[in-house]
Amino acid sequence: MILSVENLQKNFLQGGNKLEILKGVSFNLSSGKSAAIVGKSGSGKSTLLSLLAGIDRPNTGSINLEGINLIELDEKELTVKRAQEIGIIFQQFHLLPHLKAWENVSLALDILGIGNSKVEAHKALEKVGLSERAEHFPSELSGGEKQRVAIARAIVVKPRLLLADEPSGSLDEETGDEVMDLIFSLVNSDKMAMILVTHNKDLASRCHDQYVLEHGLLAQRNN
Amino acid sequence: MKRLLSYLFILIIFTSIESTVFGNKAPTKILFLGDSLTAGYGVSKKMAFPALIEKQFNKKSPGRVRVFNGGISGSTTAGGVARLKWYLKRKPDILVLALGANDGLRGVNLNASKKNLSLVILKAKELKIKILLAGMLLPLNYGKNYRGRFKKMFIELAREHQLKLVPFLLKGVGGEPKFNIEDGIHPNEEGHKIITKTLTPYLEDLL
Amino acid sequence: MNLPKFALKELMNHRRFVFFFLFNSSLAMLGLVTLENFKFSFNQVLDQRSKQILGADFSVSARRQLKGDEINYLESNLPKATKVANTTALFSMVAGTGYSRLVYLRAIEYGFPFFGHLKLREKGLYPKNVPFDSFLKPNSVWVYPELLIQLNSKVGDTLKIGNKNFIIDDVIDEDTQQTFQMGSIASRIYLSQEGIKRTELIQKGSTVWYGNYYQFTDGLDLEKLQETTRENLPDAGLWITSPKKAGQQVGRVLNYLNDFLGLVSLVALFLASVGLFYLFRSYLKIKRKDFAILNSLGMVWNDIFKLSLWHLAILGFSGSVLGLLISYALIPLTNYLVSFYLPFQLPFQINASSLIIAFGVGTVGNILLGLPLLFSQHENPIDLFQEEFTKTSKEQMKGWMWFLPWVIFYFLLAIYISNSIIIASLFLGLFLGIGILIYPLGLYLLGKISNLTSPKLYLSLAVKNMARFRFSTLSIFISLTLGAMLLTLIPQLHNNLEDELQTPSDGKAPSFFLFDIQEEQVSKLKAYLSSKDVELLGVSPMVQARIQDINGKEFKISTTGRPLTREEEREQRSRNRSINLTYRKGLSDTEELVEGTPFSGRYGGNGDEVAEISVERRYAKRLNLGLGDVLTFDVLGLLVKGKVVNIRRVRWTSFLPNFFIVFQPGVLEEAPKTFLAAIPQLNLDQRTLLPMDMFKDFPNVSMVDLTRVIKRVLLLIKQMGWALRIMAILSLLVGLLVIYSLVGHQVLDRRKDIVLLKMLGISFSDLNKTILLEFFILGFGASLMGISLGLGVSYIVSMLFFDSLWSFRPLLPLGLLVTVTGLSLLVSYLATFRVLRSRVGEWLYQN
Repeated sequence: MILSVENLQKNFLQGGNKLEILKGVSFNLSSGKSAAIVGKSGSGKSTLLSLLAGIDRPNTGSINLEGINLIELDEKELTVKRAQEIGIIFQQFHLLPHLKAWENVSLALDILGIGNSKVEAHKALEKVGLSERAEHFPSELSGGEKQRVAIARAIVVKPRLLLADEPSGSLDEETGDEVMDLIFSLVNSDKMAMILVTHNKDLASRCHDQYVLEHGLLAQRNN
Repeated sequence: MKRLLSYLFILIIFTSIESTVFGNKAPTKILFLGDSLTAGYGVSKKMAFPALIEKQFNKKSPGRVRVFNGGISGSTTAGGVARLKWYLKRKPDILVLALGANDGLRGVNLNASKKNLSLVILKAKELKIKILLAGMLLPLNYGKNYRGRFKKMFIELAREHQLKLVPFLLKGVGGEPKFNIEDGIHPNEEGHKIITKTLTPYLEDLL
Repeated sequence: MNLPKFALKELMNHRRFVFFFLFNSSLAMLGLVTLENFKFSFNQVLDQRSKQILGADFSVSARRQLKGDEINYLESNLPKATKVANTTALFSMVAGTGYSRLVYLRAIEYGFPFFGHLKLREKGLYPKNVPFDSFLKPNSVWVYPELLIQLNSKVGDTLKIGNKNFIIDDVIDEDTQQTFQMGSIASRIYLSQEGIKRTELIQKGSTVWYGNYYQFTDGLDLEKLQETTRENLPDAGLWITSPKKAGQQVGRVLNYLNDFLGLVSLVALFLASVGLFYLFRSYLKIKRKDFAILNSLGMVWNDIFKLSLWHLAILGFSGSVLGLLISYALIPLTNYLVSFYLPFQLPFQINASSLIIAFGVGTVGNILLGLPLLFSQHENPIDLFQEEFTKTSKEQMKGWMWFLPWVIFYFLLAIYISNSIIIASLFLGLFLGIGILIYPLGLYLLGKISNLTSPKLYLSLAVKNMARFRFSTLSIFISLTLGAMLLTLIPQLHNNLEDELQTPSDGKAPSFFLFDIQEEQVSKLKAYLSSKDVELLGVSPMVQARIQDINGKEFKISTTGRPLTREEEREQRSRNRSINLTYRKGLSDTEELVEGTPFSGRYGGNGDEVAEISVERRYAKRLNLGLGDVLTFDVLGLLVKGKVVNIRRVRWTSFLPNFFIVFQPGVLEEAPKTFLAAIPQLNLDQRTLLPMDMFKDFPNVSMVDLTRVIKRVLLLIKQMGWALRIMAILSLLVGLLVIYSLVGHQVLDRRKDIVLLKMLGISFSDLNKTILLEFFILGFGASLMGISLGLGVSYIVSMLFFDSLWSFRPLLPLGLLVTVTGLSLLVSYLATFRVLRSRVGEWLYQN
């Protein structure tokens, strides 16, 4: 079991009212498996994802990543843990505009202090099929290419868990499909666990498990 | 401050007179010891009365006189002796003593002025220099009493030392706007010509 | 669509930004308006003072009564005067007990002076509080206090002037018309015109000044009037005066001060513009998305462009109004604070120039500044500052072109503020020049380091941040450089002026100036004064001489070819003739060596060798003298040669005897000379008694009482000093505020990147190091460069406009280097910290 989430609750205060986004979410994910979380807009998908990524903290509950409860880690430990174990892919790519493609990728390694980052970065770019675009800046890349760079950046640290938030959401259908194919093939070949947040049922059905987030609760849906 | 300095101490002297044509006889040397009137404040130095006098005497007989203009604007009688000494190198034959006006205009104690002038006269006499004393009058606004004492000072000096006295150096010039520059005190070129005329007979006598 | 209304609604949705923008812009406005107010009121006070010295708007005076045609000209050509008055003045002797005193009699008509006053001990302020009934009668006089003591009389006693007796009606404790010039030598007695006739002192052969004074309605160009009257009444015997001239004693310094205030305003204006530019830039960044949405909804770019202009106009206008309101609301408070130091008030009124400044800069300037942001590219108007690495230099040039309207606007405003095309051009040229110089150089250097990598993550990140965001880096670098430059420039110029205005320490300012002291009297005088516990200051021998030639060429002042004014003629005449020389071992306390070496010692030659001389800086400039020039002086008939071995600066505010040319000792000792000296401040008793005593024992020594005059000048200087200080501090605050918003916004621009880096797992310390390193390089580099430039420019400005010595105090640039760098670091640290504290997810999931 790589990821075990129990009774995750998250409230926001809005205009003096308590807004219960997550009312107790629990699920497990085995290594090498993928899970899709679908839900309507505003159902709390992104909130759940940011809790899992350790970007935000829940009110109660636990998130066990490989037996370590992320909730109990301090900010610094959490930051390191995230950098080492979790790869994140956003709908908006979130590349640093002033770094070349390969530099964006190698940055993830540099932050962890892993040597030989340039070579590794180029290897990762090769994996996503972007070797020849390594020296380009994000602004010179198409949307699909940008997302491939983001994928390369996510996988270059060889994470155990990949969090993908609507990775094809900003792309046209054809490019989106290509990107998703790439992600699934990488998840399979690198034996990563993945949580895919999407509202695309076709995409969701390509995962091992499917969950629906509704009214702050997570329900499993069978394939 | 600069203005103040220049206003109060515009003290001027002209001395360098082009060497005159020397005649066969050595010229008589005349030293004018005076203030701004002598220095020719407000006119070109060649137009001040000492230069005019030299020109006039030498016109008739070239090389007759040589003039030294020892006028310093703003000077009073106090430095008279020291100034006379400075010119002794030139060995003057005649001294025209034209100091005192500034003493009067500044309202200083006239006893002191008189004493200062006496010292100059005694020194010159000691060196056998002939002396012509130029008297002055103060503007009317200085009041009858003070003006009277001022005038008397020159008369007494002349009598005590048996000197030739020009009663009023600015005779016909003082108080006449057309003979003075715009300040109303210092003679213009025409004024200096009149002073020259006033002085000529006295100098002729001494020569 | 109603664009203004929509723009207003949009702004309402960005309350935080609007608040920040308005806060910043009204603060900048506040600074500018206060500066302008200050300048305005200071000028007003000075104008008032010059008018007080003259006592009127205009005067024509002479040593004679005006002639018929002159009166006719004045009557038919002068503007209709609201008041006219005549004065009559002359020197006379007034009999006291035992001896006479020289006095300056001044006859006035009721109501004169029109400006300023006589402060009478019993009647109070004349003319304000003295009704006609209490004015001078034909047989009464008002006198200066020292005269009472000198003549041993009191109010109510009679005084004989001329042939008539006069009653001393009151004592004048303060006379706003007293200056260095007329009457300093003697005490003043005021009397009526009838009174002076009674004295019968005015007759043919009297030396009398007749003054004709006019007061006009406000707003006349008095200097112009003076000029035209001069042209039409060319008689050199007429003195035609307007207040500017009357107040000229300290005119040079006042002009400097005015120029300085203009410069400070310009600098503050520029800094404020830079700050507002950055603010609006960050606003547009926020709004870019909204505009894109509007565009997608079918709003054409043209309308979006207009919409943003409306944003700017509304923001700018509100900022101007707010700034104005705040600054006027603050006037009582400022007045209260300032009143401790300044003897005048800021006028509680809206003056035209502060309105022009506020709305000019705040509204028009804002809109024009927005143009380059909005207009950089045709198809996508709001893209100039979005970092695009593919952008060609041609496109960037096109973007810069849109700064042109603002540049022209700034130039015009600069001319208006500084009142000088030269200063305005110099400033603008400087800004543009620096930009043009730094920009390509910076691009080149940043290109060079762009691909540098380092094993240290923060190092390579910082380098990449700077090198890859070349445009931002350079624009903030240039802005910081300019900011630091201006911050250096203002206090540096302030230093120069302050040095110029340095006044003698308390009590050292003389109260009397003594002249005509004879050589043999010096030691007696010293002994005499020390027996009375009075120190003799600045005793200097004075030898009269005339400059015969300079480097063998006859000494002549070149003429410009145009006819000279009377003053110039007079000046030339006196210049042509004489120079007062002194001799001294070295420099006095109030002098400084500017160039060359001190005297080698006592003159050792036998009379044929050239002696060493020291020349005052301004005099050297005027006669075009340099080191090594040889001057021949005619010292009462003897020729003496002097070679310039040094040029020295004299502090005129010491009020001690100063000389243009100083000889080394051993040359002039034999020459006939008198001595000058000064006496330090005395108490009233001493001040009145000493001259009487001195008069007995040293009758030839003339004493000029400078107490009142110096007191007034010292006060003025003090006021100017405060004006300078306040202005410098204000501009410093504006400058630091701009740096704060520059750096703050630069970091906020990066917040998304910062969050992303954090998300990727960068440690707080690495992130901090990255940002701090970046801003250290920027802040330190820019301030180093800016400060060096500022010092250089201040040097040039000092030489060009202030004709004064450039004074360097290392503490200022060092302090600024630390402050600007430190402020950059602090602000960037705080901004980073704020970004990191915000919820990371919020940023990542926004947009």
